[in-house]
Amino acid sequence: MAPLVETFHPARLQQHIQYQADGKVRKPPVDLRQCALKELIQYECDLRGPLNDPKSKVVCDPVLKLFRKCANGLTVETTSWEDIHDR
Amino acid sequence: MSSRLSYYLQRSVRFLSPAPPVIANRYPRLHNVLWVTKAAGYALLFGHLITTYGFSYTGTWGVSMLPSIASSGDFVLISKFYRHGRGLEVGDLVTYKHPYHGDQGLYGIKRLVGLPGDFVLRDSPGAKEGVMIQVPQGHCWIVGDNLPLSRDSRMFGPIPLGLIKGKVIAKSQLFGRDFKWMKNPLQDVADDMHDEEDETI
Repeated sequence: MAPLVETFHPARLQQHIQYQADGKVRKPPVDLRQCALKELIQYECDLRGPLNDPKSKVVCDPVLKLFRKCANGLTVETTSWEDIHDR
Repeated sequence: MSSRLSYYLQRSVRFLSPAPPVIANRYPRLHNVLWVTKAAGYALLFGHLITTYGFSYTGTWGVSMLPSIASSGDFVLISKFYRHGRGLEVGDLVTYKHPYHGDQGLYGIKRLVGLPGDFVLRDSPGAKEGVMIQVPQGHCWIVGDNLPLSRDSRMFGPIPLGLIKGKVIAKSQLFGRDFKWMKNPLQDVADDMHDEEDETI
């Protein structure tokens, strides 16, 4: 079984990234806005048309995921955070 | 020379000189069988060493990695130098022993989205509560490219790095047709997107 982990809202991301996986505080503190913005495209693929019809095709719609790659090797998925961090 | 020293010298010389080939002289057919068995054993041993610690080339099936890997007929070249998550980066394609069906020999290929200490969305973007988690120590977060039809960390949670067996470095069709090196798709955001952001701000 995977270990139990705490879930949190993306608005709290800036506070949570100050801690490493072992619970120690990151030094120096990380500012997500200073980290390099990266993108990763994944997909939602499905069959368009009836099943067993040779004319049906698998069509993939892109799903954009955004990441921030910080200098100390930390990678943070900021897909949700990018829209809310200014509030 | 003392008698004891000469005794040991003789013994060691006898030890160093090869024994007369009894089996080869008396039973040549048995000798051949033994030789073939030994060669097959070495071949198995070296094959296992190479596929565990070096490289493997294997067929794949399943719709979870569309469109990166076809649902059938694609073959992948896997480098085992990256086993246990060594040297991996977010965005790499990894093979892992399935956390529930691994003892039945089931291995999977998914995209690495989080390493220990990284932060990831627990579900697909825009799905469920949209909460985030931190990947625990010694674990990683893997998600298939075809989000609706992939069973991955969104379902069974972070998986131990010990289950990571390698990194997919190339794919091809049977016998190496359409051979392509895999590229890490985690890229810098395109410039036009930055411009849009600037306009809205």
